[in-house]
Amino acid sequence: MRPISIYTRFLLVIFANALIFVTLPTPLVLAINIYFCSFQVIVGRVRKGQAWLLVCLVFALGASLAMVFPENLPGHYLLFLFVGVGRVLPLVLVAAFMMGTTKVSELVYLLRKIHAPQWLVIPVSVLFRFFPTVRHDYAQIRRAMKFRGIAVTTGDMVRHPMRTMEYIYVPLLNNATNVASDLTSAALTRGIGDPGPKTSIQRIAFTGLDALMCALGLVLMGCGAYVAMFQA
Amino acid sequence: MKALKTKDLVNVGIFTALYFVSMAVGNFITVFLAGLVMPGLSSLFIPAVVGLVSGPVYMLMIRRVPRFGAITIVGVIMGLFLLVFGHFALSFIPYAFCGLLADLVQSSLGESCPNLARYLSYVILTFGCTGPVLPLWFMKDAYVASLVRRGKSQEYIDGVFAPITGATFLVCILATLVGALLGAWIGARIVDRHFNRIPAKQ
Repeated sequence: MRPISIYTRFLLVIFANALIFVTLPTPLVLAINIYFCSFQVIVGRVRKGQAWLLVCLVFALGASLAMVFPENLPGHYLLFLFVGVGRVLPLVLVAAFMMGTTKVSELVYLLRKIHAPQWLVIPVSVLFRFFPTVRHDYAQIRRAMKFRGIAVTTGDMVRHPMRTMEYIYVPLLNNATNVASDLTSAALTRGIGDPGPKTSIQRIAFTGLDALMCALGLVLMGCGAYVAMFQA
Repeated sequence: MKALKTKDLVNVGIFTALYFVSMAVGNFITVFLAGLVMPGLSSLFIPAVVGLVSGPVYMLMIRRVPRFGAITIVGVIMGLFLLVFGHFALSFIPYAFCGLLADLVQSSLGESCPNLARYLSYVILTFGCTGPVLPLWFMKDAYVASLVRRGKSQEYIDGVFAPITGATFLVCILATLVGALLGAWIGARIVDRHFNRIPAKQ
């Protein structure tokens, strides 16, 4: 298990976004997708990496079979699925990696380092730490609803969408307002309102592994750019 | 008009988180229900469904943080979120822009006719969510490229897409409008009924 620095992560985001503009041959797309999957393995999430790799292979297979799909509606449906959705697959891969493995403290450190304004840093740091609370609250609310015999099954929830929304949102929002005031007190006590420079326990190291992966990414990007130009 | 304090920023952060969660739920519903029928095309309805489900969060937020800047921050952060976490990068622009616009509407009309202001600003913010629809355009691009490789003529391809592009655009706009208005109504109703006792901060 090796950490990947936040700088490399942002290179990945840029790379994946650039990729969506161009149509590349299937083998190259597959190579790039495998490159994205490899990050999951590097940070130690081997099973996730394997699962995504499988998805990539299925899409690559589907795209290379594009010529043999029949000339009817299901054929076009499959073609659109593999070719169209396959186009945004790199974005999904990078998102899965970023979502699963980026630490909030690293992100906040980066934001402070590039001198992002306070009105951006505070909400962002609150935001990410609040997600687990939402999940926990939701589980609690659902349990309470079931206990009182309201919308016991998912089917009941779907049948009365208005009621479901009300029963879930009201406690959720109520708790959110309480958490907001608690969190404000805690953050102010720790000096978040202080205008001076902030310190962080987070150390961000750009290691040799980062350099290697960045170089590999740049090579693949170069290949992509070359092929795109060559085609046009 | 007072500046945002730390307390407001924390509040905005929490409501943005809730807004994001409801957006993710809306996204999931759309992809799950419509995605099986028409992959990719279902993203046309994402803004509408997001508008439908995230009303209460928005309505409570503008009540708790009635200051200029709050909605802009929501827009900017949602945009950044989409940018970093796997949506197309240009999604950032509509979200940030619509956030600012909604904020301007809310702060200029909020005093004189609060109901109109909150409905209108909510609808505007919801239109910021059209960013995730953009990848559809690239999906179409890839699809066309594969049709070309199959040896289809340009006329054939134009013929396939001519009726779709204009109509889908209109459908997307209308669906978003209806979804957002309905969501605003639901949100206003829930918040007015349950959160009136919590005094709005001045």
